[in-house]
Amino acid sequence: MARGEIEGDWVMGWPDRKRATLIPGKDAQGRVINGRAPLTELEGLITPTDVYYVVNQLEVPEPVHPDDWTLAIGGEIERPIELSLKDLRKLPGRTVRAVTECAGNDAGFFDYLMKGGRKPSRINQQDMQKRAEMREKGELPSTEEIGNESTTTCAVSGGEFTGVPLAEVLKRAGLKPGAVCVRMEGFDRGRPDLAVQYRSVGRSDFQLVDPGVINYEKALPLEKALDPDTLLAWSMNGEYLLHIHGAPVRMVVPGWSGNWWVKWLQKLEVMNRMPACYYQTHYFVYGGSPEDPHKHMITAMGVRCIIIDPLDEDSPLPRGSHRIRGLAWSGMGAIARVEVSLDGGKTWREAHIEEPREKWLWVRWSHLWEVDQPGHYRIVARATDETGRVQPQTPWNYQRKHFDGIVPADVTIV
Amino acid sequence: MRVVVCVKQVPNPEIAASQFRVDEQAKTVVPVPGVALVMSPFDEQAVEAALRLRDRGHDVTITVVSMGTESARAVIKHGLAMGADDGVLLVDPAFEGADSYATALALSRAIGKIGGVDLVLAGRQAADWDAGVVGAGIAEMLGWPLVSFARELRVDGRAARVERMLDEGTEIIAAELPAVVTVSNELGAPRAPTLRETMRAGRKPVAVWSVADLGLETGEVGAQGARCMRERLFIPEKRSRCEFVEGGSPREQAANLARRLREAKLV
Amino acid sequence: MADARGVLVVAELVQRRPSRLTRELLGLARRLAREAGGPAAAALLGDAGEETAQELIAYGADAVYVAAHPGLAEYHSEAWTAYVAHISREAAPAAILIGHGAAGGDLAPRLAFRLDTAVATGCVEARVEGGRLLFTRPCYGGNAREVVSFRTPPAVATFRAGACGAASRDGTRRGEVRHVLLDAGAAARRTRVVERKRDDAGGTRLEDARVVVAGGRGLNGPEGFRLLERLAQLLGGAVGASRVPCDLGWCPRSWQIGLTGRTVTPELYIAVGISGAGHHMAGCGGAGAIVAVNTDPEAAIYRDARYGVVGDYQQLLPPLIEEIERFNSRDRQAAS
Repeated sequence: MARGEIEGDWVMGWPDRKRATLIPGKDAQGRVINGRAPLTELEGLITPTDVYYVVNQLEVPEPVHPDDWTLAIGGEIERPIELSLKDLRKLPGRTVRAVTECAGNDAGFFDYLMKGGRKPSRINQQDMQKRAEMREKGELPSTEEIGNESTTTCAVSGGEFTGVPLAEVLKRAGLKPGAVCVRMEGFDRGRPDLAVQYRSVGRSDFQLVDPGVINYEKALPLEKALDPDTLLAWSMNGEYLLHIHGAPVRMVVPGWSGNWWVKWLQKLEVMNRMPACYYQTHYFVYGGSPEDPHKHMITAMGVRCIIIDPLDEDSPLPRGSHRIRGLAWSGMGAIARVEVSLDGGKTWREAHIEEPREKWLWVRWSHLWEVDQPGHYRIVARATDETGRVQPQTPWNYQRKHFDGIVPADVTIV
Repeated sequence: MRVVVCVKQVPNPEIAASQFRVDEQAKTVVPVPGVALVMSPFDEQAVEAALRLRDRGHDVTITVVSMGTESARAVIKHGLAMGADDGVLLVDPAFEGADSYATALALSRAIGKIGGVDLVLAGRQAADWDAGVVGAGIAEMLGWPLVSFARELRVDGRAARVERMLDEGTEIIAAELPAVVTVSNELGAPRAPTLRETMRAGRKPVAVWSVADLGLETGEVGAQGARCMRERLFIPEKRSRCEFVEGGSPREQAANLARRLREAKLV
Repeated sequence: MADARGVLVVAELVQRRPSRLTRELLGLARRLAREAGGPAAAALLGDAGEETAQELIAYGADAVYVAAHPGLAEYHSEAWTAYVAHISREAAPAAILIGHGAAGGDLAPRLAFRLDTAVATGCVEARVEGGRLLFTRPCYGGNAREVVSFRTPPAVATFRAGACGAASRDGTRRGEVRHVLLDAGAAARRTRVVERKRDDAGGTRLEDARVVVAGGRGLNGPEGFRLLERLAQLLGGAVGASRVPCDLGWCPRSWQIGLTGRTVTPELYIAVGISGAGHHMAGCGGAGAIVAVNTDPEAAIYRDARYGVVGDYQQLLPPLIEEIERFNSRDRQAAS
């Protein structure tokens, strides 16, 4: 159900309900450089392209025309090759439907579950424009300003991607023995915005490594690189990739968080050691604190299940029957089961999983709730994936990545 | 061959006269909300003239140069999207209030700094002040030949072959390179940027130079370096006194008009 | 040129006689010279000779600087700039007035930079105020006018036709004729005229015509100009156009009237299918009376017009031509 204003839009010239829109952050020229998906207002499994979330670590690059684009593949391979988009499209293609999730999605709930306090709202969208302006000016937020401010449920979307398996390209290049990873480089460039990391950690009283101006890069372990569902994609949701989503070609790394899905791909380098990419040695890492010497990179997401209906903001609700609805997904395979508890986790009931259940895409689930007594209710739900992993999987970590804890919905019945 | 095209950002000259306003105190034109700043149309045709040299098989590197505020980057990008290779943006608060003299000084210095330039092109005049002076000024400051009001430009060895507009006809001038050529509307419509060139434009280099980068003093440029002063700016008053000649049919209207003109001893 | 005095006019000739615009500029020069002090002088380049110099004097020049050389008969950018700069240094005027056309528009800016001063192009008015020379010129496509002054002498300015009434001829006037000679190498020619193509003027020169019939976009094609030509011929006038028909190739380029075309000042200007944008009116605003024929009653041209007819020109012009022919034959009968 769309929770926002539903009246008063004209769609293709006809009066219709207002459509959900992206909450955008724009640059000085008015171009969207990041955006939050209005997840609680959407239906189905595929997030429409114009409300698909957008997060960028570096500056959004100027576009490259598909005819001018080439992808260089080098490193530990038999035959260094350079592919045009036409060349790439001659290889056997594949379509994958998968959830893209920002590593920091719902990070605010880590602190709420550990320390209590004010519960972050799933529909309380942050001021993206202010963020973008600070980024333009290179301003850093103070620890006080950061507070509990982290992305809530709006940096996740479901999409359908078409491209060529990375494995196909590597096969043609010929992997040399000893290869351990593929360094994926985008043509987005810039100096990492330190404010992003300070916000992620929730404080700004420590020193950060400043790598200077870099291209966005990630080194994907070979095993994941050879997964047939890991794609070089030129299409999303039934059309060519939009520039803001990484055109002409981006990586699709199903199950792994969005930072692995390198956009604006320009170079692949097969390597026989893991390089010290900034975005997997300094940021997007698990660790106990900024000073932790044993940080390690984040990879697959945990198991997640969120309640979208009812939200806390829907209270009070009348007595009677309500259908509790939500979404569930996992970083390692299809969702096998979703359970709902109405007594704070003492007893669990199986929720209905709505078909289809796909390996990398989320599912919608629902549970009919008959309630006769007025009062406060705490609804919780948890998911289990086909590998048997039960929510939650990811412990607290100082950068607050890959949150997959169980967040209750608090509802008042009158 | 290296070609420099000097371009200027102006308020869209297609604006309706009824929307046009001036601030008589500040002696400036009041920007109309929603009316875009564009590349002056004659300058667009100068870019076109440079591109046609390339179309004819010449190996040309085209640099678009503009003096203005940071917003002038948009017209440089437009030139790059049309097909130019790189851009130079002259931005400095000291450039403000320049007249044609101070503008020509800054541009000719920029052309010197670019180096190895064979041909400088500019529109015959900018669509704001309609002066048509800067191109000639650059030629004089560089000591190069000038051919103004070109309708066609070819290059033949070390000479430009330019067909220029006369009051009643045209003449073909052969000018030794390096030279300055100003382009008239008779050259024909400039090409529209394609999506591909627009995307390429975003990645082409644009250098930004200040007064100091040009080896000039702030006192030599902008309002301080100007030799001409604007004393007044106004919209000429028009008192309409049109007498509409009516009639029951076109024939009757025509007859009435002929009679009125005859009475006024105009025919 | 600290003690710059007087006004210098760069003469333009039509068949060895001062053009109408040059005669106007001599009139203007005399007025400005009278108000600001100093002589009114003229620069005469080419091979016209003594007789033409005396004509310039008859029209108001106190002195004529003659650069007699057959190579200067036609405008040549480098040579003319060198010679006029040389004459200017010798005459040391406070202002240099030049006609606003293909020659003047090329010469004036170069000259100004050569003399280390500024230039005002396409002026429509000049006056002396508190000892300072002020020039009024249209800008922003004719939407606005600016008044400019100069920090450095001399003030170089080009003028559109009609800025001043033509000076009257007085054959009894006397003036000085000075011959100037420049070193042959001074105007080293790096440009050369390969070819000149004159449009067939086909009768009266636009600038000299008493009546101009001009067509615009509203003619909807080149055929309309045939009708305009008939009307112009009948009235002893010339045909002109706004920019659009020239750009579209409906008529010769040289017919263009306006900011970037020619400036005309006929007694009667008949504008057919012309909307009346500022940049066109900058070339015909000085006409005695404008008749506007347009299908759009809201067209801007009616604000400048003396007489307006709203309707289709194809239906209006043929009866107008007939009607005028009738007047003419009646006149002939009365005369015989």
